[in-house]
Amino acid sequence: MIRNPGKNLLILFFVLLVFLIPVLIKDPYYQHILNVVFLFTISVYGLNIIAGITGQFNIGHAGFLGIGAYISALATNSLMLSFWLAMPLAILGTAVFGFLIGYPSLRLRGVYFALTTLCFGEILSLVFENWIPVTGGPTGISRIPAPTSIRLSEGISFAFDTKIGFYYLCLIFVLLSLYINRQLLKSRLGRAMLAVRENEDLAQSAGIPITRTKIIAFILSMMFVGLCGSLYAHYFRFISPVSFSVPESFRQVTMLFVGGRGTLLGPLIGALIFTALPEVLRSIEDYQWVVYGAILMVFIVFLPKGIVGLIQDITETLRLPRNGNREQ
Amino acid sequence: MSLLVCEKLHKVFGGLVAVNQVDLKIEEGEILGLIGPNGAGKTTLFNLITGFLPPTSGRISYEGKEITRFPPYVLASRGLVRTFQKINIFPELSVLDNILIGRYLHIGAGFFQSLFQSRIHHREEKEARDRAFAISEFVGLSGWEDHQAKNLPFGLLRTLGIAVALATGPKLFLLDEPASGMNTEEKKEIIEVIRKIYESRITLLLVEHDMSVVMNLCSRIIVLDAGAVLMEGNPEEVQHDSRVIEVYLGKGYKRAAGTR
Repeated sequence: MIRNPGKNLLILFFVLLVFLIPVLIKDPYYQHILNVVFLFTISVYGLNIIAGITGQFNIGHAGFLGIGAYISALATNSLMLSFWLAMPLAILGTAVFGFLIGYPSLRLRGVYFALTTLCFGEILSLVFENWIPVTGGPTGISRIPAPTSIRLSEGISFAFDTKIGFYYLCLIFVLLSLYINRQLLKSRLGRAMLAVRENEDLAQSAGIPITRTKIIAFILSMMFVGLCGSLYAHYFRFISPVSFSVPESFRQVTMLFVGGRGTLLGPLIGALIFTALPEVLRSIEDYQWVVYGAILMVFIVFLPKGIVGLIQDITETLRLPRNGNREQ
Repeated sequence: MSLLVCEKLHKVFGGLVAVNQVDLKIEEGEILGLIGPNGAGKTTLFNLITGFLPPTSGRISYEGKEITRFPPYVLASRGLVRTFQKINIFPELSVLDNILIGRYLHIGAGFFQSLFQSRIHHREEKEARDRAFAISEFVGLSGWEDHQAKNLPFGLLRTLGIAVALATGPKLFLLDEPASGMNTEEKKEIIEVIRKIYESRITLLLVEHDMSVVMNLCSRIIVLDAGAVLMEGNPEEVQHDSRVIEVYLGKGYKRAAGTR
């Protein structure tokens, strides 16, 4: 680890900057884009834990995101719960679902988990589309309330029904996700997850229970996804099966890969690029998935560790002792 | 009482008997060599003992308790730890993180302690790091801690594998061909490391293809051939046993040895 005295100052500067962005950017269109970036960032941080840090590919990510969104939407619209109750419910529900899927499929090595999640992603989008009495079918659920405002005292309250209000709500969760990922990597659990990704045999012989570690990683990952699903539903105030289809899962996998899997800033960078890109690609919307597919392939083949990984590799190479041999 | 006892250990792959009714004892504090020609079943026997393969029949006990069919991570938590013949490291992680993963069993503070940055977490992390640096120095990896494991020179890759295993705090340390593929210089270094481990009172089982390494280190040697124990003895006895010379070194060597 490199200790840098200026690093903390730099981080402080960036945190201040992101807090000031709504003041600097007045255009509601850009504010909206930023909110969507943050939403995806939270979700990709979740994906990062299972696919990036633990190395188990979840290709049904968007389906699980849908679970969080539908639970939260149904909790507020049908059960008349407040958003602040619906959100933890969505987190819990998604985590439980993750456990049920992960418990059998993560015991096997290799591609089984990826295949299981791919299938469940597809099954879930079929369920969203066809379980009309509950999910509303293809028309989805509309008129989802915005998060209820928090009133601290007379005159001081936080409302989240505006873009700026929601920006701050998301920002807090993004910073929280970043912090959780950071502390995870500094804990024995996080290192065990990395060990499972890097080398299962060696991890086992170092005393790490690999199945349990993978299941914990998946549950933790699902909690982020549940949180994001809930925020998603209450930001757009409308959800439909299209948002939680298999191509959406691949978009988030692409975000993770391009940003840098298993890194701390990768999810944020990936979400930023791939939320902005569809806006740019709007004129060729029909072909956008082709572009994503191409980008994903190029990255997997040439830059498997993404943008952040590339930067890390360059600095590592520069620090390597010459001739590959160092005298002590 | 022996630290590890194998009784009538048997392993069949399809029609092939890889390990045939092997009885084996490892005494506390010794360094036991296990040799044999290619395909003698050394690595299979090794995998049976360390829980990476289930035996077809037979039993294994460790510290007087039966451990047959225990998963590797449970065995590791009891101090029975192995290294691998092929290069086995966590390639994308730093050398220090590799060794820190080896400390997994010795850190009590979990994820929540890390999340809330509890004092226990900070103390244990510091202890683990200090220990990892000490181990790194012990095996001769000083100065490489910050670098990615995959960038180590070849000779040090296996040293790192040993460091990771050593970090778990083994009581019985099983090394699978630690010197394979190494040049003379690297071999000398790895023998030195193994000797230092032995001197720190860790019981060792050394599986080796390379005679010079075993002869240098072990006080007792078991020779395996075609899955069964051929003989057992000290290096001197093994070197001069005609059966061993025949199966292991070839008939030509026997003739050569005879003229000496």
